[in-house]
Amino acid sequence: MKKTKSVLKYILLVLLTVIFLFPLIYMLASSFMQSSEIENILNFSNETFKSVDLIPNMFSLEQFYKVFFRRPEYLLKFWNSVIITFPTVIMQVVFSSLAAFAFAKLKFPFRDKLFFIYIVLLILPLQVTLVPNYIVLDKLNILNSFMSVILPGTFSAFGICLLRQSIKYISYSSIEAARIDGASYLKIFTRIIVPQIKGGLVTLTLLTFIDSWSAVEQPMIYFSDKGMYPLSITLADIADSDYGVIFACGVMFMIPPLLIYLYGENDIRSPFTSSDKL
Amino acid sequence: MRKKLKKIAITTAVVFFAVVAILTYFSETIDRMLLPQVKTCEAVLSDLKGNTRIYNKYLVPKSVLTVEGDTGTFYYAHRINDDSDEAYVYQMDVVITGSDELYYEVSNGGGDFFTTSLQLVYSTSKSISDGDRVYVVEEEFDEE
Repeated sequence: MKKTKSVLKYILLVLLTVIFLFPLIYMLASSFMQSSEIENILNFSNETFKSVDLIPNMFSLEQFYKVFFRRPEYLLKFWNSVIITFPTVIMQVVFSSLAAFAFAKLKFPFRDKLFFIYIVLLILPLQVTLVPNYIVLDKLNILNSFMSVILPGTFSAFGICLLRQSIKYISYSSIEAARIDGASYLKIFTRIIVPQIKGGLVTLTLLTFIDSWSAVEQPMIYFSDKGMYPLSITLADIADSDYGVIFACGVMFMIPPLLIYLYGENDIRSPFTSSDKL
Repeated sequence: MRKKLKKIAITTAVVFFAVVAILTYFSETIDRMLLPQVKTCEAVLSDLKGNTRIYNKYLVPKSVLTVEGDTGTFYYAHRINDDSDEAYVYQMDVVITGSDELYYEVSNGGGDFFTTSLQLVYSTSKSISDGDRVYVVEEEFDEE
């Protein structure tokens, strides 16, 4: 009886895994198909899929050849994504950790009220802030530049909330001890806080990276020059795209977040405590 | 194991970004090299007698047309934008009304609309078909 239960549990888990991995497997399989095969499978003329094929009739690198050698625009869009994402991630991790440290461990007037405002900002859907942001960016004269997407992303409330929770777990005694030894707040932050919130930092890096990497609305609204669009917009624009190329671009597009996940896999498991057991 | 995984992730990331950077830098050149290179010219509004005040009679070089009976087929290049040398080629049919050693005299045939502004393909480095992307090479003439 117990064995049957266990087998059923595993079957259910395998099924769920297959369902969740299906889009990924489908994308990978399709990226190795020839254009004619993809056109045959994804025939939208009847508004239905003709068939779902996960094994290419003939293994082909045609789509990757197109992306890497024949369609420079996709590679340029990939670099647009990099230009938007990397500064956003770096700056958000730096500013969020500093702000979170202040909100969690320093005492200053209206601290909790300010933090409440941050929480409210976090609850607001992105679409609500798009127009006010547009007006502010217009006044700052940075519309149609990469900074118009990087800046709002940098000062996102999410990172502060996440890291504040991580920092709250650190005891006041270690900070006080450092203060008695004459350490400045910056030194306390870099030597005591940062090593203990490694998990939170890696989690924030990954989540911010994915958020920024897959941004569609902000670039579409803030950029008037289509040459500045990141690859995420092209991947989302299915109507005007070559399906085969899109699948190959999708594979290329998922490699950087996957590598970041692999790098921080162990630290991510516990974002609210240090990766090194205290 | 954990350190090994981190090392693999970093090495793969460096290699991946380096390869993509190199390909981005060279992709336009590679693409241009692989595209069929075509040379184009324009038709002249005239008949074989040299009468230029005429409607729907054009002179096109013989190398432009593929002739079948009294119909001719040719490709014309439509540039992606005015500054670009990249173009798409499209096929068009015309009716041949006469010829001499150098030119065919043609007029509009079927539903296609022939004008003197069309960039007629008279030479190509590779075989082309309707809708292909090509690179338009400017003809260099000797001063003499």
